[in-house]
Amino acid sequence: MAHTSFYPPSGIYSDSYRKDMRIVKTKTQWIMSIASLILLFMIPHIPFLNSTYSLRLLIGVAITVIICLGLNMLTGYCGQLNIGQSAFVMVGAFTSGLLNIHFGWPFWACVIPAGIASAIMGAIFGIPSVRLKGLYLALTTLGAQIILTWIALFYIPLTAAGFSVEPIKIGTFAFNTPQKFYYIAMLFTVVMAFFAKNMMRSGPGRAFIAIRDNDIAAEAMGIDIFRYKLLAFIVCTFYAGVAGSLFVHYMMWAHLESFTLNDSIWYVVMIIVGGLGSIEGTIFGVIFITALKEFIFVIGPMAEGKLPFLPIGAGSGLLLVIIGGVAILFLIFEPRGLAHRWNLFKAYYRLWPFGY
Amino acid sequence: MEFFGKIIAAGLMNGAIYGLVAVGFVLIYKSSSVLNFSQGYMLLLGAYIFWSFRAALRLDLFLSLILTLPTAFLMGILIERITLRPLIGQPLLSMITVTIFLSLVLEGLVSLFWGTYPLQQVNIFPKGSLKLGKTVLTTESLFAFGLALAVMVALILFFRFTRLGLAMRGVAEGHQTVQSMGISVKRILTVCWGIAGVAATLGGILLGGTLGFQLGLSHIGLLAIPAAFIGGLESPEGAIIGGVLIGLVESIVSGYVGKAAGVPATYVILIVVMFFRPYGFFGLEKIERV
Amino acid sequence: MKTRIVLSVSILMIAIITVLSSPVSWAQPVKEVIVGNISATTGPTSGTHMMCQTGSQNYLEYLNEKMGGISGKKGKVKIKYVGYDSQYVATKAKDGFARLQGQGMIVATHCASAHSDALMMDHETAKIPLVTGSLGIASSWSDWIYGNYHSGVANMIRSWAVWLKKDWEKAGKPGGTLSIGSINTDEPFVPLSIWDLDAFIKEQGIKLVMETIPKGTTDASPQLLRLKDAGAKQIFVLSSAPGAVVVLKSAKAMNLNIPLTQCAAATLGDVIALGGPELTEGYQGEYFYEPMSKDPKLPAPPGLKLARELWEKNHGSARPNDMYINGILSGMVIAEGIRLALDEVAPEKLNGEALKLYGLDRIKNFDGMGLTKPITYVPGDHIGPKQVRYWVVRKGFVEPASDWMPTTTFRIPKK
Repeated sequence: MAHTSFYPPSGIYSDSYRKDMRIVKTKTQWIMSIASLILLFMIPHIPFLNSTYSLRLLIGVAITVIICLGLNMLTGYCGQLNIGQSAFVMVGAFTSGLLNIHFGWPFWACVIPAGIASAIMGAIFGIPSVRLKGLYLALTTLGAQIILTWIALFYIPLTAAGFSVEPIKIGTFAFNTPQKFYYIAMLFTVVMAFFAKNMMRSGPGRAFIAIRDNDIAAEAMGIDIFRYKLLAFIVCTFYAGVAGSLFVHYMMWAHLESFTLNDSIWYVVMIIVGGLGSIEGTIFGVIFITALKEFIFVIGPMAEGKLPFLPIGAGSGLLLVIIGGVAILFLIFEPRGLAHRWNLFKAYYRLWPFGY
Repeated sequence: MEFFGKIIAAGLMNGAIYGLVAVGFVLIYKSSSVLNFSQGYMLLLGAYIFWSFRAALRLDLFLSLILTLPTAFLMGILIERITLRPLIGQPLLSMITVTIFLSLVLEGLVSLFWGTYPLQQVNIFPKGSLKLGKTVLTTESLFAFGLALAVMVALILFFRFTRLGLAMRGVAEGHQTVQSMGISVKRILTVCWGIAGVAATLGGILLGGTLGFQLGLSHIGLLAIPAAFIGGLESPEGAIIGGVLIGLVESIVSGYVGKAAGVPATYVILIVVMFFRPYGFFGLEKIERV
Repeated sequence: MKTRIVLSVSILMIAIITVLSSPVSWAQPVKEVIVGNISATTGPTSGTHMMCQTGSQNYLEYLNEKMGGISGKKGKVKIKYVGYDSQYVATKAKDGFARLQGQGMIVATHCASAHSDALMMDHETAKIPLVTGSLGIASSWSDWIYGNYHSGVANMIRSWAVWLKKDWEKAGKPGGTLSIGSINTDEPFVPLSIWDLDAFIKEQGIKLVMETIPKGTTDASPQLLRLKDAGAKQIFVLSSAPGAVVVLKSAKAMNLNIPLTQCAAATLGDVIALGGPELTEGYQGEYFYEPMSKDPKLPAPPGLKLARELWEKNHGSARPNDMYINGILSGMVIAEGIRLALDEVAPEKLNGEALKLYGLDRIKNFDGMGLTKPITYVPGDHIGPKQVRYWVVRKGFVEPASDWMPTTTFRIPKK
């Protein structure tokens, strides 16, 4: 699906397998990558962009990107639809939170167990993949969402009330404001995105794509599909768990209501809009949907105020109609997601004037 | 024993409604291979339209019904036209995502025209109940169950004995084959969505009559989904049976285990059932070739 | 040409100077203070939240109109009301708070939400008080949060049990032990409402049976039957309005002659609106103020009269909603706090901290023009009126079923 990204600029060719698999192929790309990374980490110092509000937005995007990266690996690359992702985020979040308040472990000691706890849950709910395919498997992930939420609600009542969690600390320095937390969030996101990209261009990644495209053929070629499907689930939920842990330590608050079915569905929407099977696509998708939602957030009250003659709640309703409409139009015109558009754009730029 | 009777009655009634919603779900899947995430919202819209006729315009019950059902049919068709038609041929996931966005739009439309606050109560069923020994069945339960049964029978007859039904079954098998037979796939799809709209609306009216007309009605979609799956996504009769099954399981588990364990329990049962019958009880097994 | 330019410029300058020096334009603009509101205007509780928001907004804007703002000894301020949608999500609530803080908000208000506790830390760090129509769990421990509604979700069933026990003792303790029941849904506030309830029940020496109905059920009769068989003399309904309607329907169908009482998670007004006057006849519920649903034939205190006027002016023929009073009370508390603070502090210096120290903390015996029982805030106790009254539905309106009585004040321990 992401084949259009393999248009290297003219004049670049590969004479070894290693060279062909490189993510960054030219010097220009190296410079741009490093420059954008530096820019990314410098944002808290840029006066126009560094208001608390925009930093909060960016951190939110970062954490969601981690969640969606995992999801894209499972759903986009491996083709197994997962509509229970936010439950796995929740598992990681509460594991981390509870370890923190009951045992006093700092974030750095909680994050890996949180990821592992989620991964275990992911493996459990991945087991049905040995028998079930496609939409039927998606149903078990929906079941995961509902069952895990119920377990949290009834067996750990504290999660229903919500509890405070310590912020991330190094020594005595606490990352408890968006300005400080931003670096942690970006660090994690960049590292995990890189890891994801790397994994997808190597053996397991290719296996995932093979399974997605035609799993019977893949099996015939000798790929152990159950093993790789399970691996995909584990990786996806590990990412979810780590993101969950980051989330609660950022909000310094863990609450059941932050992880609903609604969120799970939005994550799937984000990767679809961004482009399935593409790491860059994940990032685009998250940014686009977050921007869309912010639009409601900001314009909502204004709309409400200007239309008092409509029944109460109409303003927000109108917003939903507009946003849903825009999103539908978007999908009609670009069903393969933003990543595809981006690749087309890059290809056009590179192949100019032969862009057709 | 009385308690058990009540549990069964409650379960059957809930199940009947789930079944009705699931039928619409299955119909759409059968014909266009799309998982319609907005089924619950179609239910909501249909129910609210009915409410407008009945409560806002104060029309007679029958008149309201007669007016609402064709409107529901139209609603289904409109939705199909506007959202799905442009996406024919695109990857399946895009279509499913469109239904997700659609649910946003529908929720927004409903809020826009009727507000977000629950609406004034409407009485749909005549009062009274039937006594079966020590169990009391309200007219609502009877209506719901009867309606679901009637719909199921109607659908079975429709699919088996009418030409349109036959055409729909053909479309479910494969679009290309049926097109070469001279059947217009577009028309069949339209009709399917229309029927799904009607089924959703019927379920919505029943639910609205019991739970009240409020935005929460759309969450029933959540519970109808396992019903559709257990019955098998290709079988409308299966959907209704699946719905009743789910309703019973939920009621029994909640009644005896308590703690509202009903919904998670249905999913657990679902997963277990799927293990042994991956395509549901009545679903068609997919034979895959490389 | 040159002359013309010189002429026109000088005329312009004269005009400007005249305008600038005229007393009209030099009139000191009244200082504006920002009252922020973060509510879920989209999402499951949007109806309720919007009622609270419009209540406080309507009241504060009414003060602006009628009296030009709020004045104290040191000056006068006008209120600018800014609201944000939290979409029922804690992250968005925090974002909204950040934005409002950036705009210079000095006090915030909202109502009954899952994120009230998540914001507690923001309020404490930013030193901005919150006047809320409903206390969260952790926020009932915070010094920056002021309630004007119930005494905490865990006290709903407790206060009700205490009321019943008193009546039962007065009647001579019929039956030996008081046996009551509650029917619960699986909504998020339910585990909190019954937190540590066993200890309380044991302490009171009564018997309480609980039943749970599943989400989306249309029939609660199995659970009601069980409660009846267990001998419950009264049943508490721990549910929001839709669940309550289901319970009422099932109770009617099975001719259950046990009185039902609605918890404050939904007002009786909401249940009447959803279920209709016939279904809800005889249904009991609790209010912590004088509700809009009160029978218009009964005498109304000035606060209620004002509320009804404001409703008619701003919402016309829409059906009045009780949570509107919630909002109005919050607005009144804020106004009172600002008024008291303006007696000590000049308008320019009025920020969140000053408002708390000189205003809200000094509120004593404030009863919102008769809308509620007198509220006094002391350090460590910002709960609110701490009094409740039980009402019953008659012919689509509510009338009192009991006197005012103190609520229990159990607080879920802060973790």
